[in-house]
Amino acid sequence: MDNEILLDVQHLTHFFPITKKIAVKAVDDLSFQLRRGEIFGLVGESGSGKSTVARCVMNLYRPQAGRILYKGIDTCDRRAFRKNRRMLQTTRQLIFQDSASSLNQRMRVCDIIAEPMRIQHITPPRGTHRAEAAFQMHYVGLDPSFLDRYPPELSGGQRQRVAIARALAMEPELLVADEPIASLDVSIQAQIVNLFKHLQQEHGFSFLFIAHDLAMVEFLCDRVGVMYHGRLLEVAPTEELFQHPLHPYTKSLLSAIPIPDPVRERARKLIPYEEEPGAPRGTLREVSPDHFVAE
Amino acid sequence: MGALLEVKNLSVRFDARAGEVQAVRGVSFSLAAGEVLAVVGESGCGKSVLCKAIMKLLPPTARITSGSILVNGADITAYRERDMRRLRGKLFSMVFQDPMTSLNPTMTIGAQIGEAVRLHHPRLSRGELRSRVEELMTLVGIDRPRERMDLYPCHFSGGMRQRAVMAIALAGEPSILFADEPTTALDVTIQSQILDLLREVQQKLGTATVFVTHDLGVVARVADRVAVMYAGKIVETGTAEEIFYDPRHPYTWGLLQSLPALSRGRDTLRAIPGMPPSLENPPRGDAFACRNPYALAIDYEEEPPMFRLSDTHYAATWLLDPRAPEVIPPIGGGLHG
Repeated sequence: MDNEILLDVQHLTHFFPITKKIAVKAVDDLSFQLRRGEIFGLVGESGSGKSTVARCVMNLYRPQAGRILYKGIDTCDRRAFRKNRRMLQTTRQLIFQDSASSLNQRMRVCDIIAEPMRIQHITPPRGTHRAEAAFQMHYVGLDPSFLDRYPPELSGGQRQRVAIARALAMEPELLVADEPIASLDVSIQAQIVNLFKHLQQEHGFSFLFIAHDLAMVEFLCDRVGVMYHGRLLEVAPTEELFQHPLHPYTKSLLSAIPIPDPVRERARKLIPYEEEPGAPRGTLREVSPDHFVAE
Repeated sequence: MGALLEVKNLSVRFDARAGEVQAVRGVSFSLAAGEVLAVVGESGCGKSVLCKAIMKLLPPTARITSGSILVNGADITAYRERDMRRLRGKLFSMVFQDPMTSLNPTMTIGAQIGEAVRLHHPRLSRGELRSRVEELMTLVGIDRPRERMDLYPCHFSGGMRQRAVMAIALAGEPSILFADEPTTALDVTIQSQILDLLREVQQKLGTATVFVTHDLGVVARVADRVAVMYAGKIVETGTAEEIFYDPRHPYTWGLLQSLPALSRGRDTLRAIPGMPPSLENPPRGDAFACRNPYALAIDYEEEPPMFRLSDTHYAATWLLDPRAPEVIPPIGGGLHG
């Protein structure tokens, strides 16, 4: 892994207006960097703004403030985006959480996987779109007999693989995965996580991996950022974060991971976290190499 | 302790367009009063169908083809809808996976809990009803119940909604609570709180609980006993300690090994290869054989019987047959202490 920064999120802020006066601060002055070839995990409870970050990074939302630099290009700047549209749209891909609603029910699996190539007018390197779809399916561990099936005929794990195959068809450099395994069985989660790990190691994909399952994050990610109420509270390499959590919220999150061992699990205590009202908004400060905590 | 609920050799079939689906195939288990039984298995293994079959909440396409369900010694297998209604809520009630779909979005939380209370105590005055609802909301850990009674489900977070659903389920003071993946839709922290709540309620009220989940990781906290289901059958059952420290069935090994907590420091997770079989025409022999790295030739021919390991621990795998080759379990044992 080199230290080239692929994605640089600077002071990202995104509000959702509810009325003219009230707005929900979904993401509030958030900055982090994703290096090429690394898996960066973004964890936090639901409503902490993780998905909003993903959608801002993918240009699905237009942030109110802040910059998102992808390979040095400001993707929020309309002119820069138009100039590099093709590159931005092919090298960044998104995998949604709910594959039941992110795949078109009326399209066959082979058409779903080949659709991005049709849209971008890419000549399939393996001859036909169908052959390309079959190749990608083989790659994610799906049987080619599924080529002519429709998404509702597949199980959750198989559908999620189709969604991954579709994202891979563009041979992206950055994959943004928004809770890709949350709706799957534990045994299938393990298969998908192994696939992600393989993609990173063999093909140098970079991931922005969004999850609330800390056990999987610990296994998969190189670095982790902990989000709470739209802000990053702690960013650190995975091992460092799980061994020496510094922020009280991180400690609370870690204390909630179930342990598959009855004696230890029954003794496990949940550390509650209450944000002090009116507490000053912390800024990230580096406490040890690569370990940042909001203070 | 006598068995509160006893299920003997229960089989459930669905009529599907393509043929008959055998969702539950000869399941037997018993539940003592005040006990927590976790039913663990992948989706489609029949664990939800099992709960719904006991409560008789199955759709009309499903049939109980064999077996019996005994509650306090009384056989309820042949009970009709009218008789079942008297049991539901009082004897057993259920908490479903998604709290948003089990709550009515147009009714306040208080009214929905009150509705359930009124069903069981029709003669309560308005004031008594209100105080009972408050009591239930406090029981499930909803702070400031007096204010929150008049809120709608959309004002509640996922964890709070699940608490409200639990309050409704507990309104009739049931002796058995079926919790069907109650934490799957929730965050880790909230999941932990709901699990603690389940345990707390069970200890306070002495409610026996059947806890259905796909994640073996979460059951260590709440379960007294664990039943592992695969393809419509219970393949291993034992106390939580026996299942976690001394698992014997290769499927239980697979489930435990796929947990990331037990793969720390490894490069890949040890996933169970393949997919669960279709239950339309289940394979001959052991349904797990084709995904099982320890499968013996006989697994493809004949179904293994339940081998007894202790009074509480049973497993259905040919590996326990005295003629089988010795296999060292890849997991367990070392975890203890």
